[in-house]
Amino acid sequence: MAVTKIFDVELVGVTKTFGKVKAVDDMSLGIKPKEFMTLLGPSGCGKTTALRCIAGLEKHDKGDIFIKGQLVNDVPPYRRNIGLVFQDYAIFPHMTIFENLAFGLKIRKVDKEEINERAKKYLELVRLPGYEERYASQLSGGERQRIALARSLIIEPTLLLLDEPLSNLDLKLRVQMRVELATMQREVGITTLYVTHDQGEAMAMSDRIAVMDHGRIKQVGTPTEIYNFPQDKFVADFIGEANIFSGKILERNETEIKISTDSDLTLFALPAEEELKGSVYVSVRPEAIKLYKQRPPLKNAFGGSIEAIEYLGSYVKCHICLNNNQKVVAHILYTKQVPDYFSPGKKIYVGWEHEDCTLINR
Amino acid sequence: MSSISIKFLRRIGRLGFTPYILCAPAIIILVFFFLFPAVMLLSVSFFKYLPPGTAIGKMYEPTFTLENYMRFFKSAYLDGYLWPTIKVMVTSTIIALILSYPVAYSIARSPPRKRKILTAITIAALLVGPVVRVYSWLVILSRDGIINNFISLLGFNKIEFLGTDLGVIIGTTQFLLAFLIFSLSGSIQNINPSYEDAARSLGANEIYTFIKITLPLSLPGISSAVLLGLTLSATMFETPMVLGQGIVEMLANLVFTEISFLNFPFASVASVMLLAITLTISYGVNYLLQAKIKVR
Amino acid sequence: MEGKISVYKICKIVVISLKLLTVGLLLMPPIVVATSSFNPTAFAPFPPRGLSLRWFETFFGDSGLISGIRNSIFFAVLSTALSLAIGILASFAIARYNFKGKNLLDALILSPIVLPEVAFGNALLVYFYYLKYYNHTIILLLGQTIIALPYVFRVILPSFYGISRSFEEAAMTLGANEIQTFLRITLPLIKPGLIAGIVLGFATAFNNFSVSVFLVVTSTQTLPVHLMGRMRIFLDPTIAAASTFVCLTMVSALIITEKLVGIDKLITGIRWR
Repeated sequence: MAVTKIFDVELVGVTKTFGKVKAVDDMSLGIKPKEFMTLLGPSGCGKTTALRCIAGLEKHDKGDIFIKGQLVNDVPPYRRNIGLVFQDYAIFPHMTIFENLAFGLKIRKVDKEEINERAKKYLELVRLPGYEERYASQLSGGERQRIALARSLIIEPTLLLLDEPLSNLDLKLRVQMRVELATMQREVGITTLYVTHDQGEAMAMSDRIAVMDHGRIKQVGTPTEIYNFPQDKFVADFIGEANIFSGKILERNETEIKISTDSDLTLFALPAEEELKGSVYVSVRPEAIKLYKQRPPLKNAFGGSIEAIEYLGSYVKCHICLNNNQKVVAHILYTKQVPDYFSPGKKIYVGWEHEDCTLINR
Repeated sequence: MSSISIKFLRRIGRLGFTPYILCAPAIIILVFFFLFPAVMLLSVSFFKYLPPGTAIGKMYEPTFTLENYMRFFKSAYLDGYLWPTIKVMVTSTIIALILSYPVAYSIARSPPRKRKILTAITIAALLVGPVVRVYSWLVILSRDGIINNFISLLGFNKIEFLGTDLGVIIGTTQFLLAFLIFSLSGSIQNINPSYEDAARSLGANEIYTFIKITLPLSLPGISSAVLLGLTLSATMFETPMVLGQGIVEMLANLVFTEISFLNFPFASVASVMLLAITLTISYGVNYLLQAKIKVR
Repeated sequence: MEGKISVYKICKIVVISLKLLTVGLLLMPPIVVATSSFNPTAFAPFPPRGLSLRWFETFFGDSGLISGIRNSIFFAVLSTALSLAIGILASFAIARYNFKGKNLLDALILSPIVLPEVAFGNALLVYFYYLKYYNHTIILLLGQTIIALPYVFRVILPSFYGISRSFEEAAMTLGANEIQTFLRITLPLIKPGLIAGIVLGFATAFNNFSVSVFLVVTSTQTLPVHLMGRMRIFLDPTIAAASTFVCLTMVSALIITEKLVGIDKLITGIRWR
């Protein structure tokens, strides 16, 4: 049943099939009012399809979609009162910027004065004042993106949808726009659904993230929750980097859980609240792993040798091969403190705390 | 008012009928006024011809007979119509091909300005229509036209162009030029210029490059152009009608003549034969093309 | 070495001569027609012996010619409009939807090009005789529309493919329903193709002889049919004047097209495959 009082947008059991492929597979999700929710996942995971179903540009095959409590399954896109920013911006080339902005308002029969006022207001919001008489061909990519945003916001919709809007911009601009977009969204206070494959974007901008793979939602949570407490191997793997071991739980008591990995290591984790089956994945973040010349006084300590070192500016990536031929990756911050000892070929020890082992059911 | 029609349209759209409704006018007009008449044409070619006066108000009797086809394949018609048609088709296509290739190459490889001018000239030549073309040839090729005046100035005997194969071939060749130029330039444009550049950087001069690289690569394009040329010249009507002066006639003229005699069945036979020729050429050339590609 | 150079030069000369000859042949008809229409005498119209406008006077005073022009324009305009309407709808369906029979329909719309025009004229004549339908205006209109349709279609269809679907979708998310989207966004964006289609369709219908000659009656006689009829009788320079008029119309249309959208668009309609 739809809990429509809490959520501005709700999907219940939505499925969309293209031919034999289930692009969206029994997806249920709720977006809270004024929330910035991101659908994150690799190409082909169904996130864009889900967005288009919410917009009404695709008709889903099963399930229900609610916007502000109303069932919109059969409502055409032009009656859902949404704003959609396309990946290629889709600024109408045969109209001026002003006409582009006015388009949605004219359809809604807003009067001329109001249109002029709003155009000014939203052009200022996206920091492009005075652009009314220009054409799309005269604008840069970043400017076009902002106009697309203004055009969607000016109709003051209930919901803002963005389909990978930053993917056509160069890196520096992308990072800059991330911050601007998030700020604008908070300023306007509009419920927003953002779709991207870039986890950096998702983590930086969102209130909550829904990680998707093959049409299904793997986990929904805040950026911190997703990063530190992945509940699914895919999530652990996709978000940030992770060293993932598969193994079986040997013993559990009040202080620790003992796991035997398939590669014959014994790992120790803190007791967990959730139900854990016998077979688990253990995820360890690279930044939790530290390097030692001698065996450290930790239960999770293993010997090995350094295979390769990548100097990545703000941190150093160490590829280590443990004595049992298992590979792990460690990130070391504060490169100035990396002793000369730690170079390829050297024998070292790696170690991490109990709390840095995250257990995921297999 | 319009919202009601939108709702109705959406209901149809959801059923998946929208594209069919959009195509309905095209389907209707083509089925009823193209396909059906074509079928009618085929049927009438098998009907029995009733000379005027035999039966009042009827031009043919709808019974199946092969007499029209048998009449067509008598030597009089084959020699008088089929053979001249084929002669003109082949000759004019070959000559037009040779003439149009250089210009087509220029259009494909020239810088924008030159290309635009050549393209404009070619399109203009097409757009003026068959009447203009045919009249101009009439003027030039007549006994008192500029060519014959020039020839007699040189001391030779005047050549009779009108009413001869030569005149019709000249007119047909010129007619084909614009079409062949466009067809060829399109396929030449598709040849990656890097191949020619590579050949030249390896030391080949322009002639060698052309013979060994460009020409072989443009073979598919040439085949299409040949196909186009043969098809267009087979169905030519205005040119032989005026330049042939009733002495040289092609199949298309036979249709017209028979219609003017109200012999619908026989005219239809000529039309069907014309269609058969164009289809054969199409499939024939395509087949050869496929075979050549397979060999490669 | 020396021998090779002269072969090269010879080839170059041959190629350039061929090009000049071809271009000359292409331009010959309009030039001859135009100049001989100014010729003062009725005999030996080319090269002209002076400058005279008498044939234009005859042309404008000739009721047969004038009604021919009127008919031609009438039928060409109507059939272009008709084939444009049909073509736009069908192109939109084919470009935007995936449906059974899509390829078949595409082939069907292009099939009139395959049928020789003479055969088509013959077919229509026989068909309407069989149906005992004698409204010659409608008959000629249908004939010209079907002749023009494949050309119009071939020019307009690529225009639809050229427009990203995002524009239409953006309009719909902004509140425009399907019809508003089509009128305010889609149609303006395919304007180049539309103009090319209009010019090509008009030229095809206006200049058509092979089909029209079978379908016209005295009241609907088009200019090409009328002129061809006169040509068989005698070499009357009034024909030249009328032809010059046709040339001017077509060239103006060409110039308009170039100024508005560029003539390259027309080529897609003319190219065979």
